[in-house]
Amino acid sequence: MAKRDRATGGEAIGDFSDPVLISTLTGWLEASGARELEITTADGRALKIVLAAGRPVAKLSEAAPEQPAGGPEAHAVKAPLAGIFQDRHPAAAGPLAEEGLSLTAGALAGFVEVGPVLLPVRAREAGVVIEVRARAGDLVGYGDTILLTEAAR
Amino acid sequence: MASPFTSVLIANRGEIAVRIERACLELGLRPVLIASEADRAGRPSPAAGGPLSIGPSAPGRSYLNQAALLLAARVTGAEAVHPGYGFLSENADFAEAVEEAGLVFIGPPASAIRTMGDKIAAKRAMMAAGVPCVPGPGEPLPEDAGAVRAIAEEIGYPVIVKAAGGGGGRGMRVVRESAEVADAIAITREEARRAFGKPELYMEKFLEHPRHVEFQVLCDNHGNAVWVGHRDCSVQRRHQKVVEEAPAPGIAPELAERIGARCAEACRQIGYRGVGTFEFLYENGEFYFIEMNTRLQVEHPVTEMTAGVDLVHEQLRVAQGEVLETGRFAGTAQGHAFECRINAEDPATFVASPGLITDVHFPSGPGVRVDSHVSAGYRVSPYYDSLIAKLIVHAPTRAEAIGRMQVALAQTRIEGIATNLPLHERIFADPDFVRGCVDIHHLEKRLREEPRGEA
Repeated sequence: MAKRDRATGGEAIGDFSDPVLISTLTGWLEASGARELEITTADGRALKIVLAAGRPVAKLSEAAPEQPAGGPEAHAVKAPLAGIFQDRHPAAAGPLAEEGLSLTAGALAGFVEVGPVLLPVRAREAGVVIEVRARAGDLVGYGDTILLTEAAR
Repeated sequence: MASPFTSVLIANRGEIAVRIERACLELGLRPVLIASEADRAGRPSPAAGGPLSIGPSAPGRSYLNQAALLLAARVTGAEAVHPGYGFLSENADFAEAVEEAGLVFIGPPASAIRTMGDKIAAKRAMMAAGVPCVPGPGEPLPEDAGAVRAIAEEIGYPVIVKAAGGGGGRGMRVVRESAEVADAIAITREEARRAFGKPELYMEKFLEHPRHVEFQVLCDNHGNAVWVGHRDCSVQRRHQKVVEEAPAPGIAPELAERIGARCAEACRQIGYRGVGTFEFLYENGEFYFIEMNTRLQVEHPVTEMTAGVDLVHEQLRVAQGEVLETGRFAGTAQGHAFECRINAEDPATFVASPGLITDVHFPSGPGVRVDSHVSAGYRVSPYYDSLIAKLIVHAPTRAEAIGRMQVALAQTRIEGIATNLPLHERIFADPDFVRGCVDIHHLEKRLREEPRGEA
């Protein structure tokens, strides 16, 4: 039935007929504002993507991820996994992060609890907590914003 | 295992997740939605009825991530997992992992998935149950090219070499004469080893102009199995179904009854549970089994419309351990149904067209059903399958259903991205298609004849 000649090479772009690869490249092309993209590999295989004229080019602003309310300097500390947010260690008396508190880079800001496991939520950069979004006991998803920090001025 | 549960984690996305969510709500079950980070964007939080984000956009780290799904089931208290189609739906290891975690897998036992995933084992099981198969031995091909040539001579050229671990049109090669045998074997074996992790091949007679006709089955955990109608999915491009219909036109009822009964018997023999589909090639009045899909199919709505059954309800019920009332499924198809798969892709080049949908209008009215997850403002992601909606129509006769689909297509508007709507309009204006019974090469032949972009 199908003649399906799979590439024999071991290069990074394995299969040019892969729809995910093609649509990803098309997405990048659209976002870049360019209209054509051509890739040729050493063994002579090639992929060319040309955007149709008049197709609305995606505006970069649309693609912007949800912007934290704290302004451009705000950093979001995100959940590393889906689970129940805990704002403190079970043995501790108080929360690890509160509004106005300073966190150093790598500081513990809470935990995500999955069954018996507590996964640390850490601030990637030093800053002052300006907003705590997740409350203890909340179900949070991967990448959900736990809190926002702002670099201390 | 089948036992009562009250909540179902839907391990999928897109239109099928919406479809399963609806069925859960209708049966009073709590649906638990999950999503990748990309799919979660802009949707409500889990507390407000939205999905729980379980991982990054890449499917391997979200919808295919077994650990993330099982952990999500744990934190949400889900008691059962519905895999939908694609992703992990035919992954025996996942089915096993779900059950080991003490949850109900809404699908067949892992053993049945494993048997059907190995095309040689599947063929053997079908032969044992008296399901007609494509001529050729139900055994792996030997290494020796001379011995393979002897098998090919016995079957008669042209033959097709297939990977035991393949399926859905992947890992196969047509051989028309003995001189091509050695190369075809070597290439396909290498492909099979790379793509499916097992190099076994088998050989069958290659049918030149078959139709694709499939039988829907439904089984409970108590040894009851029924067939619930057949579908024609011959309108394909690169082995991807584009339009499906039920019932398959021009199939003698006695023949369908005989084949359907064999399919149900095969299910009983392999201890099948839930919904499943036996795919056949149909040529010159004969059926030839090609593979079984051990899950819900994309095209299940055309059977639902003509059999008067909600297949997802049935899936959920048999997973709860209920006994199937087999008497409800007897009888002929009521009327005729079509389904168009509306994809976010260029209708002439078939290149995927992710982007922002600026406006949507779907048709409505008697006998019109739309299964979709998109609305105005929805962003079609480049990470996943391009299916954005399924347009389904039902009418008393095939001719009336075609008329209904033509109107429904004309009334459908999707703005902001390219879709294959013009292709569907062309198909429903094609005299051969309208007459019915086209073979699996018909659409590609048409596409070659007509210059691109003429639509």
